[in-house]
Amino acid sequence: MKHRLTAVAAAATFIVAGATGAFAQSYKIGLSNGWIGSEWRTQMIEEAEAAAAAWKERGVDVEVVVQSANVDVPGQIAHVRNFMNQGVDAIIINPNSPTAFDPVFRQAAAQGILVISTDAEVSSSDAIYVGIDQTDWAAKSAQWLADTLGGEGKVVAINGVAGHPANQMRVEGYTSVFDNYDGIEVLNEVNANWDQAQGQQAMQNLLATYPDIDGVWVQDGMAAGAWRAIMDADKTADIAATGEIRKDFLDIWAENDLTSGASVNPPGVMASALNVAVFMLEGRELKEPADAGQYGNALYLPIPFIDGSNFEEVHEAVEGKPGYYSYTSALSIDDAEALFN
Amino acid sequence: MTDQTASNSLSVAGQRLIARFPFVPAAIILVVLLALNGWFEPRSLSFGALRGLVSTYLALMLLAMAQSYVVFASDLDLSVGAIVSLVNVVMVTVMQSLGGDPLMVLFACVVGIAVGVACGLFNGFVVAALRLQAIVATFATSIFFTGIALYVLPVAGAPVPEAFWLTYASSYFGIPFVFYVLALVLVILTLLARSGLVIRILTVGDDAMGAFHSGLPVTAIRIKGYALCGLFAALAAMCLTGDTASGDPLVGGQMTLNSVAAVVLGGTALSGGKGSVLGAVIGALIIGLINSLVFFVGTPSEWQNLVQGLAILGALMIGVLVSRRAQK
Amino acid sequence: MTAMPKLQLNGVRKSYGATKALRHGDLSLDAGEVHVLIGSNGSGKSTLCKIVAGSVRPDGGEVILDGQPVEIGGPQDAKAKSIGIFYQELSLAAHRTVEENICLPSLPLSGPFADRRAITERASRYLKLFEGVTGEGFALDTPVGHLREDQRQLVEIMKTLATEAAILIFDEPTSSLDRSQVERFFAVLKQLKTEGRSVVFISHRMDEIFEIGDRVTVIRDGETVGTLKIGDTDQAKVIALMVGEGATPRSGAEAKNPATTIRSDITPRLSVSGLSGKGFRDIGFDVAPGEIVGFGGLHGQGQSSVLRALFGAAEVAAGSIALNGNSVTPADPRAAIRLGFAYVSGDRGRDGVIRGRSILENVTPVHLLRAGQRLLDPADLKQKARPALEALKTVFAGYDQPVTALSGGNQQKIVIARWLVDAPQVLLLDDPTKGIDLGAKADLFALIRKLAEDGLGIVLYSSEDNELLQNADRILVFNGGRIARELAGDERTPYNLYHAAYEAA
Repeated sequence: MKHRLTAVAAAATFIVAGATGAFAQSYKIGLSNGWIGSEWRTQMIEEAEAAAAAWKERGVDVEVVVQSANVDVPGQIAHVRNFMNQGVDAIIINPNSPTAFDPVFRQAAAQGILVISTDAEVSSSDAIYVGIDQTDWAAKSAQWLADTLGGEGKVVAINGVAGHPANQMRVEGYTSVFDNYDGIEVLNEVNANWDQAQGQQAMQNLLATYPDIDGVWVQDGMAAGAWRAIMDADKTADIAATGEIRKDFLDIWAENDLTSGASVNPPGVMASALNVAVFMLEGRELKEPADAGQYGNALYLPIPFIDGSNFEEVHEAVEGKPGYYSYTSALSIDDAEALFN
Repeated sequence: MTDQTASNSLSVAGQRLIARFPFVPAAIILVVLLALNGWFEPRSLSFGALRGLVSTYLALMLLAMAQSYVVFASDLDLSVGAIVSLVNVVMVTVMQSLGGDPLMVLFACVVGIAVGVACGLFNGFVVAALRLQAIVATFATSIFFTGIALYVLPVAGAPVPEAFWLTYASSYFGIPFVFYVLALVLVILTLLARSGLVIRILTVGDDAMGAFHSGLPVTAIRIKGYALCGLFAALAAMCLTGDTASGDPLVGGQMTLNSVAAVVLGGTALSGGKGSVLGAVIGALIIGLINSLVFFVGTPSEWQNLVQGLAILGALMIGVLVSRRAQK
Repeated sequence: MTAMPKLQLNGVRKSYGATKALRHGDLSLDAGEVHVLIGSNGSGKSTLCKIVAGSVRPDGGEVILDGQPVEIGGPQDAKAKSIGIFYQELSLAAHRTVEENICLPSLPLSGPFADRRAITERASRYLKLFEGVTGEGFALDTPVGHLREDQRQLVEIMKTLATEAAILIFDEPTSSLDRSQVERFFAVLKQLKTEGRSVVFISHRMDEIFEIGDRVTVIRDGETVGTLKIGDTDQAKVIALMVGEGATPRSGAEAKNPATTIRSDITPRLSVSGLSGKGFRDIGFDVAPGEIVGFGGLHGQGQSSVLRALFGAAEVAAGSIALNGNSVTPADPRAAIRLGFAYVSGDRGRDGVIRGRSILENVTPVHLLRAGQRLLDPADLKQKARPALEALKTVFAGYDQPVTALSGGNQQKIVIARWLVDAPQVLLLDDPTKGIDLGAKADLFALIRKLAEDGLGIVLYSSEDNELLQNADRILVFNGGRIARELAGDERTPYNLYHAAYEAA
């Protein structure tokens, strides 16, 4: 008992020392996640927390405070206001709405708080977006599908939630690619709400309606379901379809030798955003200003791609991880530093 | 002996108090939550933070009010969130197409209120006139309203004229705009509590058959309850638009169940016939303060949802226990 | 009497499905009279009143108001035609205050707001009429839910008076009132008479009827059988009219004479003494093996409460219950079932049938409880259910048929069969034939008699007097929560039954 007390006291001293002296700098960063419906989001936060811990080695103390719960839009606005009350230096948010945070971000910026959104872009001019370009994400896999089919074939698309901005950008992404090929005919586009069961159902219906499908462009979160329907229909060899980045799907991919390709939307985006945030808090200037995207405030991260050429390597990287683990990538501290002057 | 008499008279006083003001337990919980928030994060009680609290939850307060008038008649409206979304996108679209002129902004607000009332009348017609089960019927209309919202504005976006949301964030004579709105809301709900309509709505909720036998136009009264609900949902949408400055066809969806929870937390029974609108408004704040408290206490992120749920259950239980005890 | 009647009903009728609630209702109501309506339980009095009040639409017949044939489209329409009604089941909002309830039918408003001052003022006018007899805790701002039964009845009376209608209907307004309250109410009615208003008054208390009535109309089996001037008649004549001239003491299926078959030296199956609880006081009786004991009297005099108390479904404040000579306390229905009590209610929707489930599942729950079984073996269950269902001559296509596909009578047999899988000691029947057609009734009573012959003790409460007269070996007549009289052997006549039931409490 006594030992333990001493240990606690020692730890406390260390923390106090750390806060005052040992670190050159210390920052408090708030992470907000407004939806916890998938393991991807959990992994996103865990990776961001790990990234924050990694800064200790460089003599910077990054403390993260997390709010992660299923909330409505006002509830997530409350997240931001809670961070403001706590006096954080930066807020990194995976937002529930692209536009609804404009006023509250302005209020945060007025308090001198750095605001970064990740995974979904926001319209606010007081924030920047650090993450992947959803349009490009879709275009990459659409390009893979077009190449695999040799520029010719009948294709169906299975999308997420109608009216969701990321979904909209992805539709634009694959449409722009398929439009380049006269030989590719898009038979039908359906919504399955990013739900595996609905994805499987949708694929079954499509297979029943169109017996001669060559390619399927399906978004992550539904691709495993769609593939299950394809395998049930015994068409594994005849159809090329986009895939997922989860370990359990990668296993199926390896076992059945699927003709698949997957753009990676890595859960590491929040960790990347955190690394960028710390450099910005340090007062460093971006080499290229964050002015991409429809809102002119985006800093796009590279999008890895998995297909036959690098599959072995990717599959090895997730060896031993649980089934829900997503193949990931994030800017390391050094990668992030390279973006700055 | 004297002790017992004293405690008896105390419980009689408590019983009177709660019978008269059913929101009292909720108000006590609210004060406790405020104190706890202040204990764990002193800055959460600063003027600016309280202003933020009201700005954020004004929409939910109004939505809880909206839900109250339906629950009073022993009905339920699961489409309030969808109405908020629809009114939000309609207003934003009107503002965008007519420009940010203050007169046009005002016109957009009128259109928004008309849309909200129309949705309420439609719900009322389906539930009271066609006699469909309220829960399922309004669940269906919520999908229908969301569909219209998606048609009006397929993707979130469409910024609102600055005149609109800057007003929402502004202060007059040193007092934030939202506080004026809150005061107005309190005045309106006090006035409405005295209106013949709300008394009749409560009567219908108490015993619909008895009300029918007494010669009250039960169907018309229930429809009016839904219309009132639509009206306040539209006002909630205006506040939400003020705080979010944009149109989003999916913005309100998740607010529906929060509105029901706020009504119940405020001491109103879903069985209808009694309750307090002020309680529902307090209930909305309770939900907000619980969410904040869970964070300020330092709950690890993976437990936040769970703790939040338990805390709301706890608040509900305390409210029920206090009322029951007072009624003994 | 040359003046035109205020209201006249000619041959009004109403059916609910196969049940004819009212076959031929006639009524002639004059201005300035108190017109009493009388008839046994379920004779159609309330239906007649509800037709006048607009809450029930007649299937046929004529309603003539002030000499004009009219159609009363609903309670609102009745209100517009200056007709007010006191509902036997009350029409009060429990969470509203006394004054709000009194004024509810036409709430005084100023603009969109309730005019509090006018509400208080109007309500206090009617409260004043009952000043001094309202009892403790009765104030204008008391929520009605906090009031006692008699006080609520007073509020409903005030609410009816506040309609200030030309025709006022009171459907059993005095059932819970004490003597002083009744007297005050009669004073009010006399005042109304002098104002030329017309009052229809339903009561089961003969003394009240003769105290306040001007004329009396008797309804029997849904038909108006006569109208008499109170001054020209007496209680015996009225009862004779209610019972009908051709009524014989006993008819149809024969009941055994308890004096010969039930031996007094046998331990009773069920022995109850001094039983008191909510709605009944000091109830004592024995049921011998093989005996059917009937509970009679007007509806709601404590009969159901006693049965529910025996089954552990209602609280017992005092008294003792013995089963086969052993003292027992059925604390809840589970305990009662384990002891060997069986209970069948006429309210099948609430107490009996499990809707949407199969016949088999409806027959077996009691067996499962008694056997303490957790896992089911459908084949074994069918074996056990078969004899019970066969004994009942229940017609059904298969064990898996949903129970709701059966007629009301057959559903009731399924519910009874449920109790027969494991033989019970005492069968409590709480108005079991409600809503069942005549053929099924005959089958049901034949079955009940057979069960009695097998040695069960049976207690039968029926709201239909004929069923009791034909099937019960003894009849205990309830009045005001007590057993007012016991009728055995040749005493079991309709006349005696009515007389005991209608005596002043």
